[in-house]
Amino acid sequence: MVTGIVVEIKAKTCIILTPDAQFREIPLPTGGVRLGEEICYIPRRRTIFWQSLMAAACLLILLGAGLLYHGWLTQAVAYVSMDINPSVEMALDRREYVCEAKGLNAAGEILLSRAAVLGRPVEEAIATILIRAVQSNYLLPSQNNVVLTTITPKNGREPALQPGEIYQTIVKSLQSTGVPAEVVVETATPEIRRQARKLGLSTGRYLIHVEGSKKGLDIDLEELRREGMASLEKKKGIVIGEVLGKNGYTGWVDLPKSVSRPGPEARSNHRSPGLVNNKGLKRVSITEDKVSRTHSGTSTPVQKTSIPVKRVVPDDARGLPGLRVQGVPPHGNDQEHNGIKERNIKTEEPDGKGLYDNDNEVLRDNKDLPSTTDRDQDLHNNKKLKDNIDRKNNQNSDYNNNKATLPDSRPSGRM
Amino acid sequence: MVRPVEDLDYLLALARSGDGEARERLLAECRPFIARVTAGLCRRHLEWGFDDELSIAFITFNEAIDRYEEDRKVPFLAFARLMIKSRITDFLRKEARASARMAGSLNSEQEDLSVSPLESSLAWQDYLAREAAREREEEIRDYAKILAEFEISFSELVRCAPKHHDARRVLLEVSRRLAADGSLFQQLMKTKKLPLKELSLLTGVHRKTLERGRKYIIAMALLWYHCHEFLYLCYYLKASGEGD
Repeated sequence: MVTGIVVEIKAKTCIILTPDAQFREIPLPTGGVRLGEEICYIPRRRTIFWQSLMAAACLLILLGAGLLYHGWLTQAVAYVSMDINPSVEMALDRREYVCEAKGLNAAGEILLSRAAVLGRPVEEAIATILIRAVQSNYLLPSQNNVVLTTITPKNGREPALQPGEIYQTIVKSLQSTGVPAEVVVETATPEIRRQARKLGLSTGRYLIHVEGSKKGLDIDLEELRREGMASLEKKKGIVIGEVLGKNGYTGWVDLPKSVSRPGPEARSNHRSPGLVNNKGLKRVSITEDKVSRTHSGTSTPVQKTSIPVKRVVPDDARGLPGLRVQGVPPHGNDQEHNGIKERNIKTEEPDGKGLYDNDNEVLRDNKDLPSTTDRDQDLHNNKKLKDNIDRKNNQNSDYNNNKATLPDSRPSGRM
Repeated sequence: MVRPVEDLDYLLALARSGDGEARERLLAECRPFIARVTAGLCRRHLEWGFDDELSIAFITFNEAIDRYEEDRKVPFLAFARLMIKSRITDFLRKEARASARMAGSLNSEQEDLSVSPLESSLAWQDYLAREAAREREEEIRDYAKILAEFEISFSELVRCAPKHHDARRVLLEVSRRLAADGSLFQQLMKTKKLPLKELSLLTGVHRKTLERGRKYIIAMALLWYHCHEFLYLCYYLKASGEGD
């Protein structure tokens, strides 16, 4: 309660002088006052006003802090780009959730429109994209598949994202879909990503260009832009894992079950002639040794930790167009690649067996192989993929009909 | 020169309790006050020993010492002033009546029957209340005018007066000392500016503090200095002075 004598009267307030020589402005009491009159005032409203103000301030501070924290948390800190043929790029926040995703080419956009990745953890997003890619026939069990993934931190800091984890995720997803592929996970600098964007390429594709030029390979940017990863490998006779393979992980994912192979395996031969000799391989480990991968020419055995991934050579080489016939090296670089593959297999799977035996079983059993329904939307690969499927089906029927009369030279499984 | 209100109150209390010497001292102290008030009422210069009005006022002042009631919330000097005013008015009226009678007034007998305000307690109480309220109002207007000379308004004082009790007490003490220091106060009146440096030396309060409370110090110093004019305001603030 405040007591004082009125020293000034205003329209809605009056100023009082309190006995402790304080001047205070208070609301005019009802009924009016006279100058010099002593009045009492209970500042109840003022207290309420302050209390509510404090409460509002606290609320605002909390809200602001929450928003700031949320903003900080959902800020993009790393980018993951994936190249199959469709190229997509995802921005990840601090929780490793996808906060932005975009297709870097037409196929990538179509793929993303079918795969809901926004707001998902990166592992789930990658798995979704791979499953969609398989469903849309970008990844086929019967062809040379390459999944190139690059991880780029946003500000040049060490990415929170571990390439190893991403690698494992991709491997698991591919295993579950039953599609064999070459998996390459690379890390890149923000500068590389920036230049790649300037050229309208994905980080991974640009990285191939950069690393390829270092190794003396002539890879045209236009080709990089146009071709899928697998067809690029085919065309140029390179192995992307070998071209890159400096700061990341490369390896092979094979089908869980070995499939008997109908005939000469052009693709496997292209990859590794040693496979024939080491038939019956069931598992292939993934080399983590960067040095060994960069010095691919050497045949030093690599004793490294391996991710146990079951390997079956993809059975896509059954007369697919563009694939080479066994024993005819089409490219000068093949020897080098073969050497690497051989090394990998020899060192990690010395007692491999039954490599090709179950190839066709898998193929036959694979009832949920990609259908052609989604392909209608694919602008770029539609025709090519159709051809591939047709050829594959023809081959399978041929093989089934002539199974009994398969050549003896075929590697016999389960010795 | 400022006579602290507290001193008078002390003497008053002693005088009321029967201390003859205190009463003498109080009367002696207040002679200028009595003279000023009476001269104001008569609107002419008065001299002790020659004018009856002064004698009547002095006797009334002595009577006021006994009749003063503290719980009426009217300062003693204001109370004495009101009594003097009432008595002098009464005296002047009687004087006027006497001269009228000598001139052959027909109403003289009737007028003699009129009752003195002091004789009717109720009427006196009413008169006292009304007069006190009027005087208080006048006092505040006068105070506002003096503040306006220093370009200070009450609204500004609301803003710049220290909210904290201790800070306010420091500035109040500074203003009392400023009002008590004749030369410094004259300097203030002349320049209309607070002599910060000298005041800081005198009180030991930091110059910045004085500068921040500049308007409040001036307002309070003016009040203390004109304490005998702003009886009600000073009396009202006295309670906090005693509390400190």
